[in-house]
Amino acid sequence: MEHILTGFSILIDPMSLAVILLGTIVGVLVGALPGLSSSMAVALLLPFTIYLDPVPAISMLAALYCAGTFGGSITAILINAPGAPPAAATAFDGYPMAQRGEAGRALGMAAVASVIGGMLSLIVMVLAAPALARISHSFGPPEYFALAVFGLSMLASISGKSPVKNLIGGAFGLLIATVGVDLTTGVERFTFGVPELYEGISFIPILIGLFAIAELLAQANVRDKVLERISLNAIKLPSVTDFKRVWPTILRSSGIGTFIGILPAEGSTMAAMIGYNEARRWSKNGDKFGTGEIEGIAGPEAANNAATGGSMVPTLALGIPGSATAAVILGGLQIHGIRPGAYLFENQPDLLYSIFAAMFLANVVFLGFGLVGARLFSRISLIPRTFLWPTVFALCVVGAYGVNQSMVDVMIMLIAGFAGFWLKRYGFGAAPIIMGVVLGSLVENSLAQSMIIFDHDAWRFLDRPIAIGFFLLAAFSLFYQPVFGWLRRFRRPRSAASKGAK
Amino acid sequence: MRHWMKSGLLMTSLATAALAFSATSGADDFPSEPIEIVVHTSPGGGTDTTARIVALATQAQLGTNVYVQNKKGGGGSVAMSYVKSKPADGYTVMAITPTHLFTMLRGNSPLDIDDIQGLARATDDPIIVMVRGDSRYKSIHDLIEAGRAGVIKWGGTQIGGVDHIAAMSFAKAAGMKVSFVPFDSGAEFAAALSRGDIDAAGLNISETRDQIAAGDFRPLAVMADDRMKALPDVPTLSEKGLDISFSTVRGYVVLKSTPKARQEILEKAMLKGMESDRYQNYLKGIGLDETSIEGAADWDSQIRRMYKAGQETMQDLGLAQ
Amino acid sequence: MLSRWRDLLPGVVLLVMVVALYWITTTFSTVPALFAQGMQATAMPRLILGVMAVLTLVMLYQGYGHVEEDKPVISWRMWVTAGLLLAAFLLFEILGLTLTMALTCLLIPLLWGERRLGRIVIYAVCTPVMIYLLFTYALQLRLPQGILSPWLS
Repeated sequence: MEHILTGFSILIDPMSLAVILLGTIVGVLVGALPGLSSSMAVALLLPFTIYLDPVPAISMLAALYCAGTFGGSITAILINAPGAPPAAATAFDGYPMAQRGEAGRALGMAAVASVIGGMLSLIVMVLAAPALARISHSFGPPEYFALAVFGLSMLASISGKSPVKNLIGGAFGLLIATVGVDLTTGVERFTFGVPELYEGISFIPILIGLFAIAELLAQANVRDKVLERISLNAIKLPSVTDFKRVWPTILRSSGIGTFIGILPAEGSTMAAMIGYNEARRWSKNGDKFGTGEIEGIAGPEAANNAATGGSMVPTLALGIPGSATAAVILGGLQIHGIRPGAYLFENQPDLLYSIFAAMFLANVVFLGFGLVGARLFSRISLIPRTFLWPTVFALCVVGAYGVNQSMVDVMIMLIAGFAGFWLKRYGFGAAPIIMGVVLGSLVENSLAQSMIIFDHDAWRFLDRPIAIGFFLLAAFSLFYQPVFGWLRRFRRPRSAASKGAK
Repeated sequence: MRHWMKSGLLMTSLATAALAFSATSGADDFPSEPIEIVVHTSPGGGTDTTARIVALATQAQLGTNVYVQNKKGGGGSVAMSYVKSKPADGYTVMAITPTHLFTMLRGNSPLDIDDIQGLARATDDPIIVMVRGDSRYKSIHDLIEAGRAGVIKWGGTQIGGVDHIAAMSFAKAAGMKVSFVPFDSGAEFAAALSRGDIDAAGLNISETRDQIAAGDFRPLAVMADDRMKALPDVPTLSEKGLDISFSTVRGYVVLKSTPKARQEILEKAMLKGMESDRYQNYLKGIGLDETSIEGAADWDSQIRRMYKAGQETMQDLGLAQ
Repeated sequence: MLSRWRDLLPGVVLLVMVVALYWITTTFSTVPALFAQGMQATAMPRLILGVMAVLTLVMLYQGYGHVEEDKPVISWRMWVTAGLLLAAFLLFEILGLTLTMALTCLLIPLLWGERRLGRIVIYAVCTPVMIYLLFTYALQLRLPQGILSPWLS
């Protein structure tokens, strides 16, 4: 307890407070720019944190990380260009809402869901970080494979379009993930002699292409339709009834996000996709998802921010980063001579709680920033499209180029954009493709690793209880609909009969 | 269109030529422009972070801007093509790791070992043969015996990387059978080792210092010529009659044709910068000590020795051209 | 007849792509026997391609006898915009990012029917300059400037 208090005492140190605020604001802005994700911002700021004391330095990076995850949702909603991969799922319903003229409602919901998700996960962290570290330590290749299978089981139902098309899209995503050198054999696959493809296709250009460039092409097709923009509606924030409707979704997604977050190397993108899918599965309006349902924003946003907090656990306790950004924060710890690992919790518990305190504060700050900003940013949706989209294109090019300073990435973005446009036209959504790319290397690598560990005896998966748990969840996810349908059919005659008796 | 491109290229090359000329004419006041350190990965990760710290430390010495340029791809070959396309004027420095050497050996690189000249080494992290603290392998002999009788599951990073080449060289020299399990990062197979998913792994001290101290991991032998300062009781493989030395090194090189005087300025600035408390503190953070830092002469010869050792192993494995 | 077959076009395209990619998998280099431990490099891509082929056939089967859904008409503007984006990509190396951005910010509004010329020009100058300043100074990211590189860092 005293460690918690010592840790949270940084919140009364003006210097720490100032850098955390700065980190939060930079995070929201950078997170919002497509292509520039929080991991890049953290990497670029890293060397400058040398000039700070370790605790404020790491706190600033952690705050930036939290805020960056939220920032991504702003552009996802306004221009269908997720500022960062975890915000991809937010675009599915956020952008249609903005197009309907409800940008403010969508942005406000994103801010509130993000903050609740982030805060809940931080509370769990503060109460149970060491126990969670043990869970994340027990996750080996077999457990990951089972988790990936669970992820795959969602593909068919992840968007409202035809299940077969969803599965084809998912397979397409998995295929994209096989490009590059195969981890377990060292063989180059689908690289066509392009050295930039050796380490695989980067995710960010694919994302920007599928969403923003595809939408740009679609916008080119809009024939001078005069869009009626009712500015008063656009800046309206979500209502109390909205929150009443989404609170179960937020709670569920916070749990999902926290859990996925603490798994080493599984980041908030996967948490957001699962959060979205579960929101859809349990919603009464599940079939309307993708057309601008407010639960479709709360689901992924609560999950990805919960995962942001969660991912600090394996990063600090195992030295295995829980996400790309956490990997950079790991470097930040090392710059200050702090060695993450199993003994960090025992040796420096104050540091841990300071990081949580900083993330807590970051959440509070971007709640304010997000709600005030929602009214401001929502006006972006009022900019005439002839001026809005060329800017989006410019930002996308810079974003795709900037990550690896590579023109190949810009080309990939354009190809993904053209492909995305045609795929959408023929009813293939972006959601399963993104899910496939996220899961791709996980499925293959964890299976290959597991098989070597198990001496090529697949039955030994049954020795791993966590893996069995996920396989069962996957089975439930696949068959709950037919089973529930059957149960309902089984019940209906009886209730009809009881009515008849009365 | 064609014409446009050509004239554009012409203008660009004219511009670079003009820049290069102005640079060479003023050799006395080197460096007068920003210096870039080319890194073969995306931002984040060990090589990139090290380069950023070194850039800051060197910048303080030179009084000119030193920045990191990320050129990811092809196991370092994109970075190497980029460096090759730049004039050899000392304004382009490349961060180099064993990966670059293996890429050269595979024949996938536009640069050859003879095209580069070492400046300074920033980190040196020998690979240590490690088992779990409660393992029945008490010494390197136990492990070798077990490997001759059966198969050892060995964790490392990607196939064709330094961990893999090191493990395979060791297995071959000792006559063991090894089943190699590749992971994405060192921390991941360290976790796999502590879970007992794998039997042994080639880990660095930077990843395992605390676990060794706590007895979770038992170091059996070091893949280096001399014993490590941090582990004085752990034998080297060469003591055991196996001439195997592999290390996760990160250092800096320039093109060989760079003027000698400039190389010396850069070397001195980097070494001086790495003496700073900031860099030393970073070394401590990644579990290393000041023995990591080395000047041009020793670093350059280490690159060449690793290249030769890698060449033999990779030819045996059928990986080298 | 063919008009009563929904998803025929994407189905055929997908099948052709599957076949082409399958052929590419046969060109993957083989692994030295020493590291072949279970899964081959071709295994996963081929499995995915196989699944894709089956799913595509299912999609074609489901679509047979159904009328293609109505799709928005593709106007010439879409094609020209697509061409513009490609041209911009080709010009990056020569003109640099800032100049190419200025050109696209000038041409796309014109193409999309914006007629307020003054606004367009101001917009086409300001947007790339803002992006340049933001990325080069605030974010310390160097963008390729092509022929402008002697003047812009």
